[in-house]
Amino acid sequence: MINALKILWEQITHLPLIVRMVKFGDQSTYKNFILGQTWKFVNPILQVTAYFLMFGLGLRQVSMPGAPTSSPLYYLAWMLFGMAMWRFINEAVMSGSQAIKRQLGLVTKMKFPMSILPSVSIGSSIWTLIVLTVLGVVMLLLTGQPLSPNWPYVIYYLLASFLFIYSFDLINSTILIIIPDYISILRLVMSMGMWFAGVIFNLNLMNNAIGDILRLTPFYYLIGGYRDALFAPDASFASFFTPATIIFWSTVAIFMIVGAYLHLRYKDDFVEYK
Amino acid sequence: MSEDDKKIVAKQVTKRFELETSSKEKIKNLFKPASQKDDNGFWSLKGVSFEVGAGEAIGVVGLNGSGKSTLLNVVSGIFPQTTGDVEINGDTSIISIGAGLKMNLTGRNNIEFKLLMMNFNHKQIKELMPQIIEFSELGDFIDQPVKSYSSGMRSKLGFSIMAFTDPDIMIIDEALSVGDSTFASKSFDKIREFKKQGKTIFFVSHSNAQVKEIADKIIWMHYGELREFGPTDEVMPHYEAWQKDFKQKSQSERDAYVAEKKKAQREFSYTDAATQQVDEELAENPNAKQFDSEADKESYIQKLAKKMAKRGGKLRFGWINLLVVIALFVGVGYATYDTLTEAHQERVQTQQRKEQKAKQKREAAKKESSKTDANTMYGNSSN
Repeated sequence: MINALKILWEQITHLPLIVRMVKFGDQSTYKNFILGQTWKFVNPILQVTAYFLMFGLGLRQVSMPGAPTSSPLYYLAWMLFGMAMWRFINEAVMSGSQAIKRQLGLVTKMKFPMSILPSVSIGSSIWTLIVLTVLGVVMLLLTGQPLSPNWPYVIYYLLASFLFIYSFDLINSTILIIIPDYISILRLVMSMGMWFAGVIFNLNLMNNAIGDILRLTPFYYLIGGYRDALFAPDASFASFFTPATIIFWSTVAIFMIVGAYLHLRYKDDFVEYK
Repeated sequence: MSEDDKKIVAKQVTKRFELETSSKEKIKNLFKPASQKDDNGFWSLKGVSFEVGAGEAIGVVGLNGSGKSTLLNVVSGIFPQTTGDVEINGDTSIISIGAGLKMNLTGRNNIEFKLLMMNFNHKQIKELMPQIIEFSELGDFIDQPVKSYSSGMRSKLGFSIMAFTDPDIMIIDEALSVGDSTFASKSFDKIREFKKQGKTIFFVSHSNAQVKEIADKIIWMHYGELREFGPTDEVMPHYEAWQKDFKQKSQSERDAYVAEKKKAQREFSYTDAATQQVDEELAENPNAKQFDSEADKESYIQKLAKKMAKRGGKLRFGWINLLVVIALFVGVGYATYDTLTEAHQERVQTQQRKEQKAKQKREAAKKESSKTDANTMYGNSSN
C-alpha cells in the first residue's frame, strides 16, 4: 500500500513536469499533419457522427424509453456524454498502457520518473472529453431540456476516472513490457467495452442478470455516472449506486496496490527489454 | 581525499546480464527460484572498486566489451548493479551518441524536450536555448530533424545540451570520439572549466591521445575486471604496452585469449562475487569478521551468495498487501452477489405482482361475463 501511495505522491510532486510534457506532446503528434491540431477536435466528432447516423437515426429502437422529447437530438446528446467519457477512457488507457514501453529507449538512458508517463497520456486525452462534453451540452440544450440537477457530481466522476485510468495503466504498462502479447487482450477488452458499458445501447433496457452485472462494472460506473450528472438523473443507476461505488473503488485499490508493486519491482529490469 | 570530497565510491560492483533467449525462456526465468538461475548469465562487471573525488576527470579505457559502458551506466544510475555498493554524492548526467534524442524532432525541439525531462521551466529553457545552439555549431541545421544529422552532429548536440545543464557528474560515453578536432578542443576547454568548478567527469575513449590530454586518472577495464586504476602517466604506459604486446600475438593466440576471458565472465557466479566481497572487507579491516575456520568462512560466503542471488529480494509484496487485496476481492464479490440476488428478487416480485394483477383482471372479466350470462339465462326478474 505504501508503494501505491509513493507512486501517487510521485505524480503530485511532478505535476508541473506532467503538464509541460502534455503541452509538448500535443505539438509533436500532429506536427506533420496538414490540419495539425484541429484533428484533436475533428477526430471525435467524425466518430460520433458515424455512430449517431447508425443508431440514432437508423435503428431507432435503442433510444430511451420514457424520453421527454422525441427529438433525435435527445438521443444524440445522451450518446455524446457517454462517448465523451468512453473515448477519453479508451484513449487514455491505450496510450497510457504503452507509454512506458514506447519511451523505454529514452527513459533507460536518463534518470526519469517513469511512473508519470501514464499521467501524461491522461492529460493528452482530456481534449476529447472536453470537446464531446461541450457538444453534448449544446445538443441537450437545443432540445429544450435542462442539464441534470446532479451536475456537481461531474467533478467526482472526473476524479474517479483519473484514478481508475491511472491505476489500470500502471498495471498494464508493466505487464505489456514483459509480455508484449498482452496488447491484443487489452485491445479486445477495450473494443468490447464500448458495447458492454452502454455507450450506444441503453443498458437499462436489459432487465436481467446480465444487465445487472454490466451495470455494476467500473466502466459503466463512470459512463452512467457521467450521464447521470450531466444529462438526466437515472433512477436505475441511483439504485445501484452503493454497491457500484464499492465495486469501483475496490477495483481501483486493487489495481493501484498490484500495479505499484509490479512497477517498482520490475522497473530496473526494463532496460533488458528495450 | 576527505570524506566530503568523495564524489563516487564503488565497492565490489558486479553486473550480471541475462543472455538472449526466446521470450518464453525470459518469462520462465522470471518465475524460477534463484538457485536455478545461473546458467544463462554473463557478468559484465566482476567486482570493481574505486574512489573518485571532486574535480577529477577519469578516463575509462579498455578493449571493446570490457565493461566500460556498463560501468558508466551503473555509476550514472541508469540501471543498478547486481551486487556491491555504489555511493554517489551529486547529480549525474550521461551522454552517449544520440542518447535520448528523438529522431523525428528537430535539434531545437530535442533540446527543449531534454530540458523539460530534466525539470527545467520555460523561462530557463528560453535562456539556455541560444547558448546551447551556439555551442553546438550546428547553425541552421538546428531546425532540421535529428534523423538527418550525422553522428558527429548528434554528439555535438548531446554534448552541448549536457554542458549547459550544470550536472555535478558528467559521464561521456564515446561521444567525444566522433566530433572533429575543433569541436573536440572546444569540448576539452569546457571540460577543463568543469574540473575547476569541482565537477567530476567520466569519459570513455579509444583515442589514447584524447585520454592523455584531459584525464587525471585512468580506469583500465579488462574483461569485467578493473585491471588498473591510477594517475594517467602511470596507467597509460602500461595499457599501451599491453596493447602493443597483444597486437604482436598471432590471430589464434588472440582468439584463444579472448575466448578464455569471456568464458570466465560466463562462469563467474554469485559465490565468486561473495568471496571477493568478503576478501576485500577482510583486507581493509581484518577485524571486521571473525571466522572460526575455513569451513565457517565458506558457509558464510554461501549464505551471502544466496542472499545476493535472490532476485528482487529487495521488494516483496508483503502479507498486509495480500490481505488487503483479498479483502477487496471479497468485498467486490459480496457486493455483486448481494446486488444480483436483490435485483433478481425484485424482478421475481414484479413478475408475481404482474401475474396477480392479470389474474385479478381475468377473474373480474369472468365475473362480468358470468353476470351477463346469468342475466341472459334467467332473464329479467321483472318479466
